Amino acid sequence: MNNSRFVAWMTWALILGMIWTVVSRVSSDQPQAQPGAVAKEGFAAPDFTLDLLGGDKVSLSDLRGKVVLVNFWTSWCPPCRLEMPAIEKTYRSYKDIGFMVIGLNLTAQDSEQAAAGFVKEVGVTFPIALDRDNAVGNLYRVTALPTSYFIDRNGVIRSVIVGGPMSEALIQSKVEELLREGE
Amino acid sequence: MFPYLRLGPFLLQMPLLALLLGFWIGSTFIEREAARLGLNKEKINSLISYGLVGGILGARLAYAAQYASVYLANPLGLFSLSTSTLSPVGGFVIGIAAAALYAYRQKLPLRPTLDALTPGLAFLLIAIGVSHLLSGNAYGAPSRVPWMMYLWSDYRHPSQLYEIFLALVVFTIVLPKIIPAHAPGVKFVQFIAFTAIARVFLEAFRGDSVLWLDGYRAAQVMGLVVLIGCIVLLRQWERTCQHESILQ
Amino acid sequence: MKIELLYFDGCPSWEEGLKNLEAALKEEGVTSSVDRIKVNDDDEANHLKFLGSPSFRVDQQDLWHEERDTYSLSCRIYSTPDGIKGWPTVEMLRTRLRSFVG
Repeated sequence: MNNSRFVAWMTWALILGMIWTVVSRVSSDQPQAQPGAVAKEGFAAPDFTLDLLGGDKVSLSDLRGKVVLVNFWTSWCPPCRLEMPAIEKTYRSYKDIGFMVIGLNLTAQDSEQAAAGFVKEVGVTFPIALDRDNAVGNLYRVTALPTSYFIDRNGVIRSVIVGGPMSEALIQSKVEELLREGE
Repeated sequence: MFPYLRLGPFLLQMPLLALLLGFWIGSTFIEREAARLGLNKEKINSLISYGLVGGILGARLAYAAQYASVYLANPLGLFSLSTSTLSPVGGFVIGIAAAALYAYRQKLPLRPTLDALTPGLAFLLIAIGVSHLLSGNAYGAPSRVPWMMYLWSDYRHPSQLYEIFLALVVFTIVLPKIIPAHAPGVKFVQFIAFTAIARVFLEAFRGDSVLWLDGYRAAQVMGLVVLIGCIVLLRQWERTCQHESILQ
Repeated sequence: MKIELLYFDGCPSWEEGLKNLEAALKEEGVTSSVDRIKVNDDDEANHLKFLGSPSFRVDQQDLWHEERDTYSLSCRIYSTPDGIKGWPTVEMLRTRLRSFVG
């Protein structure tokens, strides 16, 4: 094929490509994924920054170097409430050796007052982040509560547990495995 | 989808392995093409090495720059084997810059060098498709076609398979015997043009497209711009060739 | 056509979900009744491949199918036009029902 003919073919391809681009446009009622953010095992945990109950903020990326449990919950979700004491106990046992918990409350589908009341009732001491506009819930594509993400020191999601309540043994085993990897 | 394989204490990143294998096989194609074009094989190999090392270092440094406070507190993290702490854009830019600097200093002829790299780059695109299939990245739009794939909580176009297939087609086309190039650099530009066309077509089946304006897929728009650039460049070269042959 | 709603008592969203499902079925002209299946514990959740309360099935296929490694009692949430809710809207149910009914 000589150059002129190749250029002619490419010009036709360009015209067809333009038509295809318009035809395959995403319409506004079609849901489209957040590019680059996949909250699944083996992938980097999508970063977020949220307000904390009681003031201040938390960013997941600031916790790089620690083993992190991100636990999505609401105060009206019974299995979420049932597993909170086990999470709190594990947090207290391992926080001084590099373990962190973010209790991520889906506040848009809850109330800050109810969340605060429950946290006080259980005696939770780990940070409670408030997802007031569902941004992080959408980012992580949470479809059921509770959902827990165990994230290693490099920020990679290593385990996703959907549903609950998680037992203390389950939480501890996941945390210890990831803490050991850093040694 | 198969992001990692645990072998005892080691965690093998399968998508990374696919890329490394693609790179290694691609390099053999580049060597062969360089020899066919009469280029210095050792210099071409060094060019590839500079590009690869520059790319990896650049990807890590660009990522670390985004999280400077974390890496200042934990400098050993710079040497982590995790591929999730690499910036693809940073790696690409710095890798290209490192290779270009080497090529300039070694006075490698630009167009024949680009032609020599073409079959390797084309093979690397196949490896990238396989890497996407293993990682579940570049996933397809939801669909109920008979050949749909179940991924990320929905039935979807197997866009990674489309990607591999189109990359194989492009690779086959850019082999010298299929469409011989009659001037230096033309083979490379043809490769870029075919890749752009493939991307414009393929992107319509992706479920993770970056969207511009009113739902236009960014990769399709960029593909069309690249294709226009290739057409303009080829026409320019054709005119220059004709002008030179008239003068002769 | 067999229509099922799976739920567990502790999750308060299933009643709204049932209301919306019945409305969606009526608007789509589907006359089948809804079988309510109560999931009592994790064993039953695993056996039924329970994706959370409330879940909606047509001929044993979940309207929002997901593959998971394990199943347990959980509260399901849905991305609606008004944000995350514990139940899908009537319109969301109608759209899904149409793809099953044909």
